[in-house]
Amino acid sequence: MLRCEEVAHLIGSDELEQAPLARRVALRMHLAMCKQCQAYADSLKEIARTARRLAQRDDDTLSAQDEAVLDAFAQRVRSGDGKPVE
Amino acid sequence: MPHGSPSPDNVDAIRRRDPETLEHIAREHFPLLLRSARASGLGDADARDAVQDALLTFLDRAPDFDGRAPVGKWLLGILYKKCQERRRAVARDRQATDLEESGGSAEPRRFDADGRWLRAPLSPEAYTATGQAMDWLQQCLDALPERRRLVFHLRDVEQLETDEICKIMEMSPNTLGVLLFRTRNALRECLEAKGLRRANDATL
Repeated sequence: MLRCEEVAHLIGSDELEQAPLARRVALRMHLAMCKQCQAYADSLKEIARTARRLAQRDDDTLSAQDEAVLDAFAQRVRSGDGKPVE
Repeated sequence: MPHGSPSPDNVDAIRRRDPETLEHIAREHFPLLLRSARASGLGDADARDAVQDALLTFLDRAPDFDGRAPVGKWLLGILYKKCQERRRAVARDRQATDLEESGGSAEPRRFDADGRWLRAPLSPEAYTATGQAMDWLQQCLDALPERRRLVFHLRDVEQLETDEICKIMEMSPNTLGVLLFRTRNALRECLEAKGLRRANDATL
């Protein structure tokens, strides 16, 4: 039986993905029985989900400054015309 | 936010610096690059400058692009170095951060000698139910050391594979695992503390 500490580490460090099958099965069994580790796993998922919503909240519409950077880049690309730039 | 692999003709177009292709790539990846530069600890203006530097380096090196990694990952690798250069100006934080990451600073004890939780994790409703979760998380993210914040961002927000992050940030899988573990725990504990404080205030 895995200990909570090992379970938390497997989930929190993403080592689970590389873990052998037996260890992953043991983790599933532990999670099915342990409310605390289940809450831990749920929390990490929810935090990641919230962080993704947060990243989308203020993003993806380019500001005038962003467009200026892209314009400068485009000018540089076109002036180089396929030849090495500096 | 998935980042697809370039098609073979795309690789060729990148290598010969086809203007339309490069401009399209720059525009398409701009939000990803800006988000990541901010997550690396740079303020708004510095983050945008770092993205600009990264795009110009991308242009310089375009003929060397081999297409083994998708172009977005390649850009992130370039950007990471540009962000580091910019941060060197504010290098005072570096030492502290490195110390912390090598295990020099004490992590809070979370388990007893038998590996059981000392304090049971709260279910996420404890802080998501309030409707303030996003603001709280922003505050907790802002309090993180820069490298941790970027690791969390690339893994849990941009959802890159761990081996891709290791390449971009030039760290071992082991280091990445430790950083992810500590960062996620810090965020969870930070949110729990805010949720509990709020619950206590409500009962007063």
